[in-house]
Amino acid sequence: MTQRNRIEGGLVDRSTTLRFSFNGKRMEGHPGDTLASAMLANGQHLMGRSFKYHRPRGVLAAGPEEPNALVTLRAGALAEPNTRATTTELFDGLEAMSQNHRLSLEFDLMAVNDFLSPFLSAGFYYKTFMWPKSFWEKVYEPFIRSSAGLGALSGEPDPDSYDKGFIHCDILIIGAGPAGLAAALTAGESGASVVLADEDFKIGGRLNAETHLVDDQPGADWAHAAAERLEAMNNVRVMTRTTIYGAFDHGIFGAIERRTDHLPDSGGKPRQILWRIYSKRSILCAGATERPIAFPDNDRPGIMLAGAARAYANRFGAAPGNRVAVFTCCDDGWRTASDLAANGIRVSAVVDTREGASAPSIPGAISKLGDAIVATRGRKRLTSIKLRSGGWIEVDCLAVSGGWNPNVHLSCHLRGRPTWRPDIAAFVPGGSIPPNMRVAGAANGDLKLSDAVSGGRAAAAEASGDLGFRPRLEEEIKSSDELAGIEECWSVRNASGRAWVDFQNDVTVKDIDVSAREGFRSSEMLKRYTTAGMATDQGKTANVVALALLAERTGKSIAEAGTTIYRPPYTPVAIGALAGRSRGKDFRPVRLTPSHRWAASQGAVFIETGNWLRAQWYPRPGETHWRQSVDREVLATRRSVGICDVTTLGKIEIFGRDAAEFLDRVYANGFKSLAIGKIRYGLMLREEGIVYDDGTTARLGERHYVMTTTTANAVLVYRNLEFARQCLWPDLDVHLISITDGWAQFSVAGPNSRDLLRKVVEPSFDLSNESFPFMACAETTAFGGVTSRLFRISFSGELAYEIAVPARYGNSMMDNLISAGREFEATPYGTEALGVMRVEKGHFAGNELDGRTTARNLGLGRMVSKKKDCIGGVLSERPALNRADAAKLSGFKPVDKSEALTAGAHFLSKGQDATMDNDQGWMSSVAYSPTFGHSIGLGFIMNGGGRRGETVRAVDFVRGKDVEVEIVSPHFYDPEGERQRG
Amino acid sequence: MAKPVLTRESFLGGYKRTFESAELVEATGLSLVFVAEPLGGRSELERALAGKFGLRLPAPGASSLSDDGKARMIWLATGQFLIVFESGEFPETRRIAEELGDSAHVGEQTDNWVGLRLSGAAAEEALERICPVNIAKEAFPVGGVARTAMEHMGAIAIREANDGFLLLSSSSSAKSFLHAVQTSLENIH
Repeated sequence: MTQRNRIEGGLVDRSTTLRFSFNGKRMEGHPGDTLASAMLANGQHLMGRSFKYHRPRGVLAAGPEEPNALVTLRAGALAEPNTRATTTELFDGLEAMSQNHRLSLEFDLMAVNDFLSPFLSAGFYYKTFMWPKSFWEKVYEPFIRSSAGLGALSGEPDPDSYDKGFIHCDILIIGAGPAGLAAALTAGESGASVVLADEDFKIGGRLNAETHLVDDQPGADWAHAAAERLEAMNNVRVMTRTTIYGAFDHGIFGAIERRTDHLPDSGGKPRQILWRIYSKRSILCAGATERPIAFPDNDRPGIMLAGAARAYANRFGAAPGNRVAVFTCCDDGWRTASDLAANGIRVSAVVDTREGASAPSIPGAISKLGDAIVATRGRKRLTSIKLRSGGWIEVDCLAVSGGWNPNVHLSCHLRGRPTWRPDIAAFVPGGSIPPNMRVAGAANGDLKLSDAVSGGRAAAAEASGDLGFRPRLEEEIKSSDELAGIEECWSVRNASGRAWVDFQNDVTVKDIDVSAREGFRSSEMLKRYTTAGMATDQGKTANVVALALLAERTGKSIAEAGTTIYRPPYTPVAIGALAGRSRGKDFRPVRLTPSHRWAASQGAVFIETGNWLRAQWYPRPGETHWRQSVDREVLATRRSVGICDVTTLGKIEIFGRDAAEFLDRVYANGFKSLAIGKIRYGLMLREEGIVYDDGTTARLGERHYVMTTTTANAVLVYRNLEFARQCLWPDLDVHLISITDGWAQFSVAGPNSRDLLRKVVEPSFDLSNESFPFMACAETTAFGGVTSRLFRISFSGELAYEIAVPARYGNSMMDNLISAGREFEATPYGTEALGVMRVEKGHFAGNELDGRTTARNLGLGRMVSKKKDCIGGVLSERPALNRADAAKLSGFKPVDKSEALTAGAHFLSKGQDATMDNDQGWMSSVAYSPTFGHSIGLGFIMNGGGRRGETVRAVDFVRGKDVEVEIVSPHFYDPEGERQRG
Repeated sequence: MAKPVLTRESFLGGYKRTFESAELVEATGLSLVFVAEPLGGRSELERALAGKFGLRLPAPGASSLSDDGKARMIWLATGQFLIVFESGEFPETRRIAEELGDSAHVGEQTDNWVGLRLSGAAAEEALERICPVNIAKEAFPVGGVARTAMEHMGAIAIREANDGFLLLSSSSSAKSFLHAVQTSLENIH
């Protein structure tokens, strides 16, 4: 098909031909075309099917407000549904498919809905599908859902990449039409840093679609020259293809920049960039959107907005039709008639609802004043229109103008509510618009070009003046001053047939009548009951008409009836763009332990603990089940020596003259008496007295301590300590800095740990029990002079040490320790063996510190010192937390040793029903103990300390288990602690 | 048996790559020393730093060079600073601690951080993708320091030259941090 409707003029580059297809039909266009303009040039008016009634639809608009011409762009995994043909920049090889039909676009089986329309009006599914009740979920709803909707997702992962970024500027100007360009020139020349963003690929806004003169040159030429001037300014950033989609707090705006959507291939670069723009001032110059008039069958392909019709002719060189009529209630409609006629397009009639309209002469056209259109014909393309005054006129295009609505959207995003301006019959930004935002041009209701230009300049002068810049306003920008008279006309009355208000959601005047009649009379109720304005176009062409009709029906003025407001995004944003790079393994950063490379080379199985990857166990050849590896690691450690990377535990260096006092206040137990070279175990409470973390603190010097925290709470503890230091006790001399990443710290545990360390630690350092007993610490050197820290602490219950060297040596230290430990069969162990040994030893961990347990529950009630105050100390005294029968940490072993225990089981006395009333506590951690040869568990049971030897049931409904267990001491292994002290 | 000897490894294996209009290099030889001001001891610390090391305390969001130009002292938080230098070119932590004595709290920070040097005409454009703070030259001149977060990772950005930045982030997530900066460089046109 050739471009039979391509006419002279416009801003397309005819020297290059682009080939594209629509539903497989091959067509041609030019750079500068949108998909919609190219389809019109090719004579393709039928572009889609409507949402509910599957009515044939053509293009209504020429911009982002388009409700009808929604297509699926590209194919396969790259397919993007619901793309507006009016904003899709044409590229060579573009493939587009129409949506929302069964069989073909021309013959849609679902068009039967159109005949069923009497049953499908507003709220139909609340009323129609009432019986039988059980059919709603299984039959009706699935059917309605599969019938409704627009395009479909590919169901495959999005192969495109996306990025995001941050831009800072003094003044953000939203929209590069006449007001935006004038504002940008003024602000840019003042020296302020300016971002000028426009969603179009061509700067100029409506100037590109009109024949106005600015500074004695065509508006599009002036816009082009202005853009060049702005591009030359170092302090101005001009962003095309960039939609400012949301206004947020503190002058922050969200923007989507479409980087490669207009290219056949992204070339591996991000398709879109989500920008967060930080502005000190913003100027909203978003223009205005034309609205239709509701009259019977006003949705046929070929009926479009008057401004769009002339945009296709003036900007794109595409004739919207060959015999055109204009239907208007404002002066702007006449501009379409004269522009089309000037482009050589036959204008058959201009119908103006106003009796006294000043009617310019349009060659060849009849003028009908005080008249209206009451019917149309043509199923897949408009063929004729009927006038109220009588008679049918044959036309293939009808250009409709019901007036223009300022694009107030972004002014509403922080709850600003637009106000009604009767003189232009439209809502303008009002109420609380975002702080530091100004609105200029048509967006502010200044619909005439000269007002838009001067408004833009004034807003920019104020904004830059606010920020201390000196705007220059001496150069006037000359522009024409066109007529902009209007008399409200929302719908044609006393005409039979369905008249569309919201084209995308198929809402008609009748639906609004139903809503008003049935009591849904506020603007918010109307929206939800009829779905007017709830489609992906957010009712850009529909809302005001719907609200005005509601006002009419309820006998209120539009100002009284009020309006709904908009929220972000202004136009749809791809979820992929919001996700940005945060996909797959890049979702969050990964933290690696210093021995990670070594562990990976040993085939370790890793587990995510927060952002960390930790070795869970190290399988050996022949081991086919994780338990074999873990049991071996536990037994080897208890028998000889095991090595575990414990770098992930939080390490906080604490300095200061008052560090001891500080520790005394943040830990429940006392720290003032801790001597240099010693370590103490400490318990931290939340303010309300619940235990939230435990760890150790070593005193390395007079004013120097090192605290360890659990891996999970490393950041939380650090944050809490900073809060305490900076806000609670700024009078203390204390400084904190994290050293978690700085030191590779490994646990060396087992009876041979001392002998192994003797081989690597500085020979002069005395590791004997007398010189370096349990809970001692020291700074020394190891491995031939490397600075190291030694801590004699034990989580396994064995004689154990933790040795730390600077992280850069960590990988090598693991290798060296294993080599040096070969004679002891030193075994690396992972977090699973670590967990088994701590359960055997009876140490509590994260499972036990679940945000409900007190020190008393943990059997450490006496650690909460009464001699001093500490965070959480006072509230830990509450009677309810100190009941005599409080649940207490206990050990549990199965009566039948072959039974496996499960964490989460609840304890019941034998013979009692499994009800909440009889619940006595819960199992928090379990492990198979290779040391004892059976399953063991830790848990909390009421009055636990006094019930040793008693048998209770451990009932786990989730896993269907009911096991008899004996209550024992939590310290299964070496309860006297002889091994760790030895 | 041979005596155990530890091998030192940089966190990114000495990464270096040239991009169009930019270069990204792991700063492998950095030393970082934490210096904190004892409560009420600012003037004493200032005297000691100036007298013994030719260093001056920088203002918030800024850094200062030592008299010999070999060390940069950057502002970290109220009363907290970091001395950054190439290892061997300036006294190391232990000596700084000894020389400053009671006038400062001093700690070793080197291995907590991975350093990346990003330089070239495209450096700013690449950083714009991940750095939330304003790093335009007017707002962030040479010597400027910003503590921020990039791709969920805590980071410090220092403008060392007109088109050169030193970026510091946690060493445990060094690879993720490199990936973040590298992706930014690959993504810009």
